[in-house]
Amino acid sequence: MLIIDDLLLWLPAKGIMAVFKKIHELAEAELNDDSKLKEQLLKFQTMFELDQISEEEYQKQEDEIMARLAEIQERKKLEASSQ
Amino acid sequence: MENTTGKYIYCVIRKPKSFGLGLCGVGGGKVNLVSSQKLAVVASDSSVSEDYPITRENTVAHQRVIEEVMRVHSPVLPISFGTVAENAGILEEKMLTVKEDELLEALADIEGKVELNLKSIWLDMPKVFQNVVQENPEINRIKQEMSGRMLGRDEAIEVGKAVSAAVESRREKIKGEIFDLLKGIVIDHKETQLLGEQMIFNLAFLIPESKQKTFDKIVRNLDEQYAKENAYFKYIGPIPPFNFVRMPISLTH
Repeated sequence: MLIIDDLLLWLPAKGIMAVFKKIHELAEAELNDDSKLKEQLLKFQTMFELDQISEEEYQKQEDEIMARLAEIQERKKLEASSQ
Repeated sequence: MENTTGKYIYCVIRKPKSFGLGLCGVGGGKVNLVSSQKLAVVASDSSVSEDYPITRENTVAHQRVIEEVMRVHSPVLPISFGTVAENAGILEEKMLTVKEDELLEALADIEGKVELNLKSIWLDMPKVFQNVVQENPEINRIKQEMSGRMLGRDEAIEVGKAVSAAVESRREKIKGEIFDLLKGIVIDHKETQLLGEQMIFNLAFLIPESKQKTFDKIVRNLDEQYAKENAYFKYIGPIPPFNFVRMPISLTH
């Protein structure tokens, strides 16, 4: 999750656009972590938007991907706490 | 750690005289405004430690709030999915007040313009491959030369490359035709990520609000016009101008 406060405090007042750019970079960094899974999710979303898969099917795929992402998060937390 | 003073934020608008939108936001919080003298951020209460997974339920809720606001309080500056401020005071002081000029300028810039999204996919990929092979003399020649025997690994790679280049140029050709059809209507466009080889294009357009009917008409004819291509076109909009306001693109796009 992104917290705008941190960003605004770090940055000199170079204009709001810089702040938003930073948020975007952070978002991308977050995305890169589990990028494969998230890209898959995005693909299913697009296929659903393009009427190529049903809502049930989309939901089933999303549930699976979210479960796997949660596992990765859990593992990262464990690794971080054991260090 | 429970902390409900946080603000999940959706978009920035000019401060309205009244904001009677009884909307529910991402995570179910009621949507409200944080205002300065001239501007307002549309937000909902949220725990600062809350994590919002990129599920469709959440991203659709995010987008829906912005769209509802847009309908009554256009123009809007949309904010990326999953952004939370620690509290209302920070939004008011650090964002609305300090950045007032930039925000007002960005609002003026997007006024009277709408973003539309047009996506297209091929419904029958084997047929597309057949077509490009038929139409491409180079690939045809290779195919002739190699007929009747197994392809070696390098040869298979060569054919694969030629076919995928031909598919790519077919995409470019269709895209070029679409741009021609929309010439004079479009102020700006962005190409967004293609997911999978089936996709022909994923385009965001910025057009004057007044040209929307013309755009609709042209786009509605595409299915018929590209019947031979066996393509499916999907047109959505107006949507929040994520692609044309210089703010981050939502994680879902």
